Amino acid sequence: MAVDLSHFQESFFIESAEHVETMESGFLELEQRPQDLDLLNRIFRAAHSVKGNAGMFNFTAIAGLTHKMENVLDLMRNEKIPVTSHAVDVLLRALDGLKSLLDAAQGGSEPDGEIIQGLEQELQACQDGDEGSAALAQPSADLGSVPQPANTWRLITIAWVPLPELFQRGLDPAQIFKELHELGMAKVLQVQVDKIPSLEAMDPERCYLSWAVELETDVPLTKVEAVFDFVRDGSELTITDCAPKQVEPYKRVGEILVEEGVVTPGEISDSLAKQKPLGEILVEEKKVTPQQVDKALQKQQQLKKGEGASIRVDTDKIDKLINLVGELVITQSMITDLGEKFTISQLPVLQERIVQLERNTRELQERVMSIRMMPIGSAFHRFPRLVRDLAGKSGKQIQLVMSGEETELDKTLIEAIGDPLTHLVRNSADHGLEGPEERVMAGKPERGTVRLHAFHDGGNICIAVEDDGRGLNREKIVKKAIERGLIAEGVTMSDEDVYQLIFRAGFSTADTITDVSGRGVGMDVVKRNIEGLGGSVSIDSTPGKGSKLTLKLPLTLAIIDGMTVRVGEDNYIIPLITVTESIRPKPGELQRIVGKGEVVNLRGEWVPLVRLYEAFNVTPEFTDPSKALLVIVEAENRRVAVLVDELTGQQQVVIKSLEENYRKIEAISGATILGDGQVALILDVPGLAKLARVGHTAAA
Amino acid sequence: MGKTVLVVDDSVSMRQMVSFTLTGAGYEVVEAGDGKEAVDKLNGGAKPNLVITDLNMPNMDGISLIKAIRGMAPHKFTPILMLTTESSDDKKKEGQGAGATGWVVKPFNPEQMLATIKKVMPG
Repeated sequence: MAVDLSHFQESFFIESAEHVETMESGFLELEQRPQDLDLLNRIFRAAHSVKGNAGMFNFTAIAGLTHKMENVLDLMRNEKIPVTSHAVDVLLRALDGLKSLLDAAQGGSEPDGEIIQGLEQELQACQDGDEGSAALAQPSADLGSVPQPANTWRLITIAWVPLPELFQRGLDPAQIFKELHELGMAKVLQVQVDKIPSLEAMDPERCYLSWAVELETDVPLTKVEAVFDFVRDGSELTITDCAPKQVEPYKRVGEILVEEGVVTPGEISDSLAKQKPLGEILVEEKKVTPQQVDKALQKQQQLKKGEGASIRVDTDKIDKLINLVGELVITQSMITDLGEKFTISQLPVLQERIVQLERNTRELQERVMSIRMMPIGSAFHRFPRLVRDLAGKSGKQIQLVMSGEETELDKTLIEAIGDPLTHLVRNSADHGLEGPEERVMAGKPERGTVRLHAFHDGGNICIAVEDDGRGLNREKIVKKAIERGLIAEGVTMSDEDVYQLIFRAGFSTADTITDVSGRGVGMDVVKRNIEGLGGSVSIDSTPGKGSKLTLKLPLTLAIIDGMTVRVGEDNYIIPLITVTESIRPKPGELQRIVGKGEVVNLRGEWVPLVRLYEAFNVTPEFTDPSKALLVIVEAENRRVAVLVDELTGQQQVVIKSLEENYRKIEAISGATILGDGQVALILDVPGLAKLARVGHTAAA
Repeated sequence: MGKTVLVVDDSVSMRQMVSFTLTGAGYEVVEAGDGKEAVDKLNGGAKPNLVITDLNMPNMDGISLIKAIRGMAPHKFTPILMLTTESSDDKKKEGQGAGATGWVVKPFNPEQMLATIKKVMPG
């Protein structure tokens, strides 16, 4: 029976990621508490599990590296070597290596063998006085398929005196004989009974017998010996074989050539190194172009990545869901029942049952959504390490305080905010916090603090990244913004508006570009990413006291708060978070500017106007903006006025993908079904803003 | 009736793999995530014909589990196979001392595991 293990790889990767996290946080704790044996045991167990499982799935490189890590950890927990910060450093880097190997295994690409080898050597060096390297068990996946040389029929005699405690270890001599019989013709020649004591001295749980067996067979001796594998210890066993000398097992061509002295092992490995990937050969033979190969490889990667992204759900959550569905079915049958013999006098009963149905549905919705919810802590895990590294590089002293890790957030969102959050934490540590001397001069403790805090705020999740550093410097930002031509000189702006400037593309206030924060590009990307997720970023800063950036995110991507608007007979949804206000302009506030299209004067600012009926080619009730309504929406720092007939309400809408069901349409992010069964398209505000710009150039 | 195997491993992927293989070979499978859970299941009335256990586990490790099982009257003679990454004899000796019937050395392939089970599964 061949079993395909690849089904379980997904679980292996999820599990390994958890073990890697355990190790990572463990290593960092270990620096604080090098004597903590429980902690060491926990880390050891994680490394050990990864090693064992990697072996099972034939990821030799992963098993090899974790084996080395495990060795070091084992020596540490047995107090053979001390826990030094150097050793922890090497372990941390090895862990990075392990991560890259896991990534590579997941993506199916080649890991960087040299780096891994270097790490293994460093780990080896850590082991000091290593008692002979324990050879790593080689994966024996194809052991079963090694052809066994045929042996001739012959007699094998076996004399066996089993250990008396045989039964207490769950063993049974009858099993042994059965197994022997499967190998050929087994015959018990003799049963020795002389060791059986007198009845009162006899322990019925002990084995007092011994046997002599004759086996007529054609299997190799090793197979016969293997029958006794579990009983050999403590037994007396003699197996005599009158078989001819065994034929040597098959050898590889290379091995034979080396043995015969035709080539050296080095030459063999050189030649093996010349074996090329299929893609390269095809390119050389001009069957395909390198671009085609690249494309195919990319496609392969995507397929591998997209394959079965899975999620672990507590059985508890599933049980509750099943209960709820049960209730839903009951309510439904109650209503059906009522419907069959309905009289108007029963209206209150019907209403009551509909309320119940509503309650069931709402709860079901919440529960189903909660399946995708994960504690945000999993996005925080990387930060202790990051901050430690940053502190090391910049010579600052930084402590990281995290709270609200248990706050739950949609899995997709957690994955998506990882990078923006990293950026913010880096910024706080690098730009926000001062060096130790500057801090002491300012009367602050030498050690700076970066605080990560997640919490619920209504239907949103907020994540605050706060530092007690120097705060944002208003003058410096204004000066830079003027230099960069982002704002005109002499404009009065509120603090919040000034701070928002750092989110503009190409803005950087760091006097020197550091290795840590990079080139000051990024804050604009952070903001764009967060807005892309339907969230927002706000800043709060006090000079000399520190800054606080708060990300506000929806709980999930699948449901949004929407404003329903009507144009002619069609309904559209505008994501509520993008709506700033709606106005009815006076005739004089509209202008057509050459090269800029139609604009509306919003308290001194000219905002481009998009006529939805033009964009989507429908017949509106009003074409005159002063009779219709303008909804002002904002995305990516751009404001757009959208012309609609009327606002019809606000509601939560479930986003259905258009791309999956139809195709992608400019300025539409999806569709939803309204209460009355009508379909409404959901507007993509950044797309609308683009539409406004394109419209202008076309008009120009 | 099919034979029941109690599979004890803290690693989900290992449990999945072992269970999948065993179910495919016609065995009933009961799973436990560590030694403690296994003891609970046994105390709760589970009557496996065979136990397969990992050694390295949180809460209660495999060796302690083997000792615990040998101390339970109904499971005194139940065969117990341990999964071990150590091919060294020390661990095997320790396991045998505790009452383990046999072992399967990781990495193993499903066929090897099934062959080993067949070897010790009471007839």
